[in-house]
Amino acid sequence: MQGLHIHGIHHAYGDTDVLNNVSLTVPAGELVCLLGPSGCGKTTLLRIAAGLEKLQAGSISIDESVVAEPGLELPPEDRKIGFMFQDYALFPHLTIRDNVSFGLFRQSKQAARDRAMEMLEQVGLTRHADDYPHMLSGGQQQRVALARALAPAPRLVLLDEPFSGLDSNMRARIRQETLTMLKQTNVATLMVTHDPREAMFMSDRIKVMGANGQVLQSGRPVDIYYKPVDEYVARLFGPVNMIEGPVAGGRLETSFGPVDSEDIPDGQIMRVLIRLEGLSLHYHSGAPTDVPVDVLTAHLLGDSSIVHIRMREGPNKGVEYRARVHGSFDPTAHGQVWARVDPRCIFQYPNPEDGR
Amino acid sequence: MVQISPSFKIESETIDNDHRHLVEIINEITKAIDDGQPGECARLVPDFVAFTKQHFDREEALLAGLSYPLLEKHRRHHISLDDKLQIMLNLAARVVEHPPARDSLRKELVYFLLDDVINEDLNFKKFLAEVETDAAGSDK
Amino acid sequence: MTTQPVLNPSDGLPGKPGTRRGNGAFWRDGWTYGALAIAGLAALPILAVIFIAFTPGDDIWSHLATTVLPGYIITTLQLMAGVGAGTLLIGVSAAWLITMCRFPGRRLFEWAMLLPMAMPAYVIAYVYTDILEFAGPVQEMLRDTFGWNNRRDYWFPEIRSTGGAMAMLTLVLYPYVYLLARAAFLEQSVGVLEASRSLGRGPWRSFFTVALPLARPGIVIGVSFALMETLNDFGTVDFFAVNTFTQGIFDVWMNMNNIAGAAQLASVLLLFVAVLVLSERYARRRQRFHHTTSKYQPLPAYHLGGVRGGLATAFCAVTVLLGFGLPTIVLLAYARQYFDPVLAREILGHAVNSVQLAALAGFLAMVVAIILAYSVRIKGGRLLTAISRMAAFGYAVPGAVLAVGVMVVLGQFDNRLDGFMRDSFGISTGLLFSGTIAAVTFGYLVRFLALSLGTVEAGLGKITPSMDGAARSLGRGALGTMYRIHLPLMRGSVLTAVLLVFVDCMKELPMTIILRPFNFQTLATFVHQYASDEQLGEAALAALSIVMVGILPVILLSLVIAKSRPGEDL
Repeated sequence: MQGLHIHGIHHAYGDTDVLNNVSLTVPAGELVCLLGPSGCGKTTLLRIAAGLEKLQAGSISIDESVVAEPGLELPPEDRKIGFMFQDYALFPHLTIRDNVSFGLFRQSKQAARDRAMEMLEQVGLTRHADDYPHMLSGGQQQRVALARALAPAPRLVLLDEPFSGLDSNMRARIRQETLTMLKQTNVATLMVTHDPREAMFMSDRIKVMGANGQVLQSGRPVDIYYKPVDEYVARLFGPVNMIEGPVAGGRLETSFGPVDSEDIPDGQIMRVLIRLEGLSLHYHSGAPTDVPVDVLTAHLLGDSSIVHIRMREGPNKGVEYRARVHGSFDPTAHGQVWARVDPRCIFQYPNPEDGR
Repeated sequence: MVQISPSFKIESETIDNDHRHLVEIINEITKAIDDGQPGECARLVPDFVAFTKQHFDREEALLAGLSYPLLEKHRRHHISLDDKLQIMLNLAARVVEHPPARDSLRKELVYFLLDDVINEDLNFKKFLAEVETDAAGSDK
Repeated sequence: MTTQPVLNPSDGLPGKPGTRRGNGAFWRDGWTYGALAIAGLAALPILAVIFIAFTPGDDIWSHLATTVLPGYIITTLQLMAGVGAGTLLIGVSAAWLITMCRFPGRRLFEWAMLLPMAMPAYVIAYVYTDILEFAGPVQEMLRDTFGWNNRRDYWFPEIRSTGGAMAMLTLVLYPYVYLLARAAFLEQSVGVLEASRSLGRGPWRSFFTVALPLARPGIVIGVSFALMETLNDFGTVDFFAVNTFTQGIFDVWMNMNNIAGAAQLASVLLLFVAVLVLSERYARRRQRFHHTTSKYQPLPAYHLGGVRGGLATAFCAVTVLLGFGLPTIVLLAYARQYFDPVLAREILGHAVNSVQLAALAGFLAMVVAIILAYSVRIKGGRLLTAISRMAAFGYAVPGAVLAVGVMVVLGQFDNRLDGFMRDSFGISTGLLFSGTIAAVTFGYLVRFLALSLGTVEAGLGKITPSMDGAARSLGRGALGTMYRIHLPLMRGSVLTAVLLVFVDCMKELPMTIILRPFNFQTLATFVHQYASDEQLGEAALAALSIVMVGILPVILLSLVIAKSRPGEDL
């Protein structure tokens, strides 16, 4: 298989495990994202794949040839990879063109020059070929870093938090450009980020990593969002509403209706999480499961509003929850408001403090 | 075309054969998509799912026979893959009318096999190798 | 470690693709071996001293212990106490005034306070002796004014005494404390001082309860440096006949011709050094915790007007004048008065010797420093860090001690080589290295390596590690990366490293005296020889040259200071 295959990576600093049996596969032309909190070892994995960090256990092959396993360690310069660093690591003493052609020293001067200009044209920076990195904006520097990494036609591209240095407007644009360019070159890409939305946007597949350096879940963005394996993964995407209660008759009664829980024996505490966007508010009851609520406050964020509601009836009567609704929401405009739950945004897990 | 490269071999005849068969089905599905015969592909996916389940059972039985210490963990992993198998069946049901579903299906099959099945199976490769050498040693 | 059994997916496969060991592998090991070899060489002289001291031989230890040792210890401790107190007082006061107060001439003194660093202690000692001794102009003027005739008519402090040595050393060594205290004050957040003021403490109490404790690690480092230089001093104590350890080592070595005795004295001196090094290291560790902010705002300024401003100006002016201005003027006057073309030509010859030697040492130290710093960078790990620390240990060891060590090591090597060559080839190589330029250079390298290593490390540290990663992942090896990325980016640091070692070698006296080839003179040894014979006039031109060279790093430092505080605009 063309692409990257990593198997069974363990890594520890002293007594602290930072990577715990991590395996992953990135076919050529695909982008896989490691998503996790800072300090979970995801950048370490990137550095091990690049040969910048010594492999402790496991194996790495690129395009079917082993580049690292115990007893064998190809130095980074022999791995044919492109690494894009969080701080871009542009060489400040070289012009933009010389930065991009830095990895092309095995070609003739003219060929390297042509290739560098071709790459600069792709990222729309030919005008700046003779400038120095400090003369460029953050977004331009990011593009140069990408052009430099892709110029030698690597077998694998590694991106370390590639957009974290950019402001949010610029980030959305550069993200799209980067993705387009990577897909055009049909190279295998492994990216690291702590931003779940970025991971969702960029990836064909996401690997969620926990604080102990273990992979918690792998899957398509849609699986990670709608089928999180545990509470930790569910909470990655922002705040959630939480309802706790004892299971009775294989279900937990909530004000939003019963939640089935076949796996959990009666009497045990169950925890139900509902994404804020999983609650929608309506001025008319359109479905029998709709429940009446009182609206307390609404905060407009621009594209959406966070609305605080209080349950009028049911087992959670009087409890306050939050809903994210599209656009603005005026709590004073109408009388009765009804809440409806999107069943895809409601998750249940056994209470972590409750035994087991 | 998917191929099992050397780094994905478990070095166990039963399991490697199963994996090879799964690859063959995936390649047939891919070919059907490429040849513009999504109907064929919708028929093949249930085969893939069924064979995968058989493979899981066979593998668990084999590991249980050798008292693999981490069998329970591996079994739980197999169970957790049920969702993904269901997703593939859902995708397969849509490939005829929805061309975008074809690409999703192909991708999901590849990741499922390489990352979710074989990468996890590689965890007991060394265990199998040790059991084999022990057995060979006691024969002599 | 919880590493589980390692799986190897490509086990037992024929023709594993890509299993070639990269050609970077050799180099990466080469770096480690290079660093080890360098550190080993640098440590040899010190180890040799300790080894000889503990080798039973014609033991004069008991003799030393009962006769001169107590005197050496007491005098050395007195000198250290005096210089410590003096540099502390002058250095911290000057640093506080200049960073926190505004008074006439502050911006000038900011860098002018560093000028005395250019003045070797022995030069200033010669000058002041010349001025202040009985036959000197000061006492002569006093006698003329008050009609005194001889020594019994009045009291005048004896310059050639322990107290005199303290004064001389303090005047040229306080800049170490000034520099580090100043840096420490500058690093303090304005906020903590303002918080202290807002909680009702006045400027003085804020200084003693907040600013000074926070700056303590920096001050301790500065005083440690000043005291290391005190232990290293030979010219001054020799001239003043103050019996310190360094003086004693020379005495036992040169006059009693007893190497074991010299080594034994040197070992005791090493204990003093060890204490200083430990306190410096300890302070450095604490420094990190005392770092209060990374945000720089303009510091609040206490405006000193009227008498208080005048006092501040006077304090700084007198210090610089005594430590630099006056001796320079005297030397200038002498140099003019005693100028003689023949002598000047001779001095030029010595200057060429000095420059060649210092340049060679500066260049070699830079190369060695780059190898050490770079191997730590690419290989990392505690072992290499420890190795490079060890290689830099010589900065704390007095020149006299190192000289003894170098003599021992090279003597042994020469004898072994000679024996080997005679046995195998019938050729006598004689003393190949002892008493050669190579011996002096080796001594310089061991003593001053820390200077270039520190500079190169600082320069390298400013280059983010992702630069290395970027260059390596783009296909350049370790050497190529160093050549294309690191060297161009740290050109300034590399030049500074050469310059700092160059200047210190120009000034160096004790090692040069012991290790130089027969009849070989540098500017420093020439000045020492003439001034000791009370011929300061003839030595003035040479002394002045040393001072002028010494000003180079002062200029460099003041440039760094000018840039050190972004946002300070006053």
